[in-house]
Amino acid sequence: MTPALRGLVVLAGFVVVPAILFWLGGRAERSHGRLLSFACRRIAWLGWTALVVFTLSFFLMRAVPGGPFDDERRMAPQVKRNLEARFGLDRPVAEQYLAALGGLPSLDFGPCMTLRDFTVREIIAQGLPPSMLLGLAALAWMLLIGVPVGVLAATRRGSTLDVTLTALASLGMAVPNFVLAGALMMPLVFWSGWLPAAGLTTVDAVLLPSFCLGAPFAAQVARLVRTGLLEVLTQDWVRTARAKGLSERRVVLGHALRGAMLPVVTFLGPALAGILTGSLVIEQVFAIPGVGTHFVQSALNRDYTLSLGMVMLYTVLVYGLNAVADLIHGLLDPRVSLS
Amino acid sequence: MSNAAPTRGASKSDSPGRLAWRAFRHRRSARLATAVLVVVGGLALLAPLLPLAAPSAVHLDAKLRGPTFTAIEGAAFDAAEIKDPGRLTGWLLSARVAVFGSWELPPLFGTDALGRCLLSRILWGARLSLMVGLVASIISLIIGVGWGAVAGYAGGRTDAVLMRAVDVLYALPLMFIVIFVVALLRGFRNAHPELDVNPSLVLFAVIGATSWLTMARIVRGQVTSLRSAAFIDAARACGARPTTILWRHVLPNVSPVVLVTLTLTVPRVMLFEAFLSFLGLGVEAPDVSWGVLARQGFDALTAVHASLWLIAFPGLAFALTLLAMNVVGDALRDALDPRLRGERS
Amino acid sequence: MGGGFTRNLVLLGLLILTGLLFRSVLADATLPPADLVIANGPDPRSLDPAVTTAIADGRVLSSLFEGLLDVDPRTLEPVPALAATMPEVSEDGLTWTFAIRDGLKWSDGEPLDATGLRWSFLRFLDPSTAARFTELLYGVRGAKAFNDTGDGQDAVGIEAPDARTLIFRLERPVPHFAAILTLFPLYPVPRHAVLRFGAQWVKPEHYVCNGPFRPVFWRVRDRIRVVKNPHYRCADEVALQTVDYLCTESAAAQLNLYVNDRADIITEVPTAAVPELIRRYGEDATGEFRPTARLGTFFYRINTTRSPFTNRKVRLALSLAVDRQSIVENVTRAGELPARSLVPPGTRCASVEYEPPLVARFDLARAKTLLAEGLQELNLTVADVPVFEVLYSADVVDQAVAEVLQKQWETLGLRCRLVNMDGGSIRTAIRQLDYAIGRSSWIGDFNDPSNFLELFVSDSGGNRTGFEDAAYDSSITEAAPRAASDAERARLFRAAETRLLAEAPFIPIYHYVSRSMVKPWVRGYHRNVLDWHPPRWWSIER
Repeated sequence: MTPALRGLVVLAGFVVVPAILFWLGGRAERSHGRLLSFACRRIAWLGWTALVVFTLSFFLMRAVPGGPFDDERRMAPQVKRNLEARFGLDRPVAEQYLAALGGLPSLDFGPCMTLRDFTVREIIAQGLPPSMLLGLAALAWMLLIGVPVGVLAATRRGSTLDVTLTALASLGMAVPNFVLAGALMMPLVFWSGWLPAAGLTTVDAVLLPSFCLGAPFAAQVARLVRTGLLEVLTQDWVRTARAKGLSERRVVLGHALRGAMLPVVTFLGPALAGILTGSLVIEQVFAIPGVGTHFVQSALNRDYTLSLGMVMLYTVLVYGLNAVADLIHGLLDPRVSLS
Repeated sequence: MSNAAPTRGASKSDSPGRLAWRAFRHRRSARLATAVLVVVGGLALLAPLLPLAAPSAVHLDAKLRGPTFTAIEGAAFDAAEIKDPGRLTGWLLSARVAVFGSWELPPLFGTDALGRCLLSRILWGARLSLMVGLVASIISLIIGVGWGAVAGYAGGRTDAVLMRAVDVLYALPLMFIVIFVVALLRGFRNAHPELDVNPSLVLFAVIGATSWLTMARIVRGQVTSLRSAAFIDAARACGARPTTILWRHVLPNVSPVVLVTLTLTVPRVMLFEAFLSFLGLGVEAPDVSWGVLARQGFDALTAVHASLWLIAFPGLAFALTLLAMNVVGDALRDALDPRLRGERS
Repeated sequence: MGGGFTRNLVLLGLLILTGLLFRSVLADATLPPADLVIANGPDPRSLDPAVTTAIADGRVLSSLFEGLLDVDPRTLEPVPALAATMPEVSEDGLTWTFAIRDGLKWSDGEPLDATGLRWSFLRFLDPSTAARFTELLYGVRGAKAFNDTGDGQDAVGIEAPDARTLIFRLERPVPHFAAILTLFPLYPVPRHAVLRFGAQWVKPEHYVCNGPFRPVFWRVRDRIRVVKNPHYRCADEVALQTVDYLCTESAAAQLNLYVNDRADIITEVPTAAVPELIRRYGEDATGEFRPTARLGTFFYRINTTRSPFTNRKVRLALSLAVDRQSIVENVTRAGELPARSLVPPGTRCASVEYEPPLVARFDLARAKTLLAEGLQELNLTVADVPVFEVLYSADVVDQAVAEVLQKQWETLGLRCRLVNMDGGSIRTAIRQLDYAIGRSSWIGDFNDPSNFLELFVSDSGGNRTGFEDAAYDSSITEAAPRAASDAERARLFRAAETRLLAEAPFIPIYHYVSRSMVKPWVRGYHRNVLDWHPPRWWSIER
């Protein structure tokens, strides 16, 4: 089967399979409950979204002037021709598109055009663990700081503590993360020598980068928790709980907080997308071997294959995480309909 | 503040809007934050009127001076330094020259690597950075609110299609789009020099065009829940057209949420501009924005030597402004939410 | 998370995931420490020498391979490496005969002989290899045709009559052919490994090379680790067992690593730190930071096909309005030399020092006169000149230089718009002549003026200014190679460069310095104008 033909089959598959899933999801709703149906529909939408994003990015990239082999260093025209032939760039764009699409189901994005010794899949596989580690650590910072600060600020609403904490939390979101990184690096790395400046070789090397990455989102979580908690605390059942003589601590931590966490759960999706994007600055600043740097660099270098791989990675992650966030949201709050 | 639906009928003296405004006004932090925003906005607007050095005036002999009260020797303001001022700016500039002549403030915030006055650059940069926020919020107001309101009000299939489109755009990495669209637009600009497209404007538009998604989602959610409200049903029963209902009844009721979302959009967009500047994709020199300044400040931090003022002042400008915006946003939200209005600080 | 159980399960799952991630990330990263760590800049494009061109790539490859000839880092003279002696060159300069050393081995113990070398050179030229720098061998008979079409492999003038003799037959004399053969794109690749593993041969597990080290580990954006190659012909002279090449893109990160003692050699430092570095580590202090001149020029190209830059005087006026001294003193700050020519001082024509014509200078009055004259020839006035675009890259120094240039050209009454372009766009724009003025640079690969001057030959891939001058072309490509002596060649080059500078299709700004830092315990790192430091000579002495 030629690559183009396979591409056509995949294209058809990307249209039809989600449609079937969608239909199945509709049927499953009656027989197996809303969870399965939700999952089916979301996966169906993911399929379509992936196809649309892939197509959009592919053609956007080709529309932009420049190509992966436009080195400024001198290159004879025939050398460029040779290179383009090697990567199939001499074929019609439609054919290239189908060929690229054909590899999508097997996550085969082809060889990387700038780092010639690697396939795109290898690069992503290498870079993902450090990035995930960084992202998870940032997430941990986000929740570890955000939730307690939010709770404190809400329970002491209007007090100096509230104002100070809210101000500090807002401050966290109010500076670009590289400024935060620069400001913290000075005392923690250079003056005191407590933390390593770059690389990811020891456990303590994760601390500072993930903090700089997570802090802005911690601030948002704190605000969400605060607002959510304030809202929950005015509700009748809380009054009832209080009236029953439950201690304020138990009311807040045991009951109200769960309700107040709902917006936080919804926020996880966008937060992770933000952490993903933010990581490309932080990875660069701290020289961490993650996928973040490839993200921008591949687009700047017009590395078509790596770019597409990164875009698809981003899309699937963001879409998937949003779906998971919705799912959790739905499970936590039965009033929300999963659709 | 909010223009509550007339159908809700309330006496003028204690309309929800007024109540909210009172609640907002009574919050000290909100008053303070508003004052900060007014000052920053005012300074940005009036920067040409102040006796500042031109933000692009290079004094290589005076590079990297710390904050000082001593003027740079031989420095004199020259209005020609500022290229293509708009009408307002031009007028302010001539007023400045008329009042202060060529006298300029010493570099109170220090100078950068090319000896340019940081204070002046921060104030002139505020114009651009705030403008980015403004443009993005206008775009998100028009596209985002429109999109969300239509989706929410129409419901059904229209809603599904519109919102899936938003999902797709959400899942597209912004960075990627910006890099390519900026490159595409330069080609366009060179092909049509007669249009005289301002490169910074292009950047604004790109950022704005991608910043309306959250707004669309939130508005759609609000409108969906409003759609079945009694007063809308009533309006529909009276034979009002959908556009009228949307415009007169639905939108005024979502305006508080829109307002709050805006106060969150602006900081996000300003940070995104900084992020683009970090990657070298921001506005073009000699234009200056806070993102550019933050990036330059970051570059001035090295393991052996740091020109701290270069990062401290732009960082502070960022922090203060965005902080104020967040506080105002919070206060607005609290004030507009009747359940929270009772207990205020 | 309906109940506590599910929640705990999720938490447990997250914990295990985090643990696994930590394990995998840190286990990879905590290799035993290397003897020497060098922060090398961006990841190499490839470990296949044929497809690389970047300087950072060359640094890694120089630890893995040895060519026919090598460069002595002290004298920069080509010295025999795989060749047993310097080549025998025929009277007409067209036949170069190399005697190959006996008993050479690849890193897997396979023998390396002249037939293998010939195969490697032909592979380099084969269009399906898609090598980048094939122009290097275009002096060889039939090479260009083969590289162009893929036909005529047997007609290429590279012969291996026996296992120990390799003969190059040239189309025209190439006096610096020996220098060319030292360059890293021409390093030999192992036929047996390439044929066996195909594109996979560059993976560390299949990698075969012939230099002092061989690669064992490469993680993108992290490091390439090389270990000593026991089959290297001078293995007992190699002092280091392991070397790490760190892939660090930013100069700031490199300096951080150096200051934290995580790197022994760094190749770049942030400009903001330069004055302090000179104070703390300079010549008068520890001597770790000694910027030394290097064969490289930072310049701006002018698109000579775009009005008003079609006029020579206008171009020259732009060049004369640039205060280079001020730029190197205030912007680059590491002792760069103001560029008054394209070819940097210190370049040699083999035995003779080349003296570039120091024409470009700062003379505002003259610039104004020339501009007026030039515009008059075009029937234009200064006011008619449209705002033109100046392309620069996002680099800090580049931006500062561009901003200074903008100021200096304003004194001529000319206005330009600085366009900060990403790498892909700037290269394309310049290649397609879709620009007015654009930043550019050239770093010398070998020490010969032709390496620079060939850039502006009409059909050179490096020209990209629209500049065409038949007389210039012929003196560079025809007359100079046939010159009777090195002195005569230098004279021809000088005349040609004078002509080039008078035409001003480019504006020289400054000559680069090497801004590397080397810990005091590193021995065998010889600073030189090619910034060429073969790791074979390095050792550690604490």
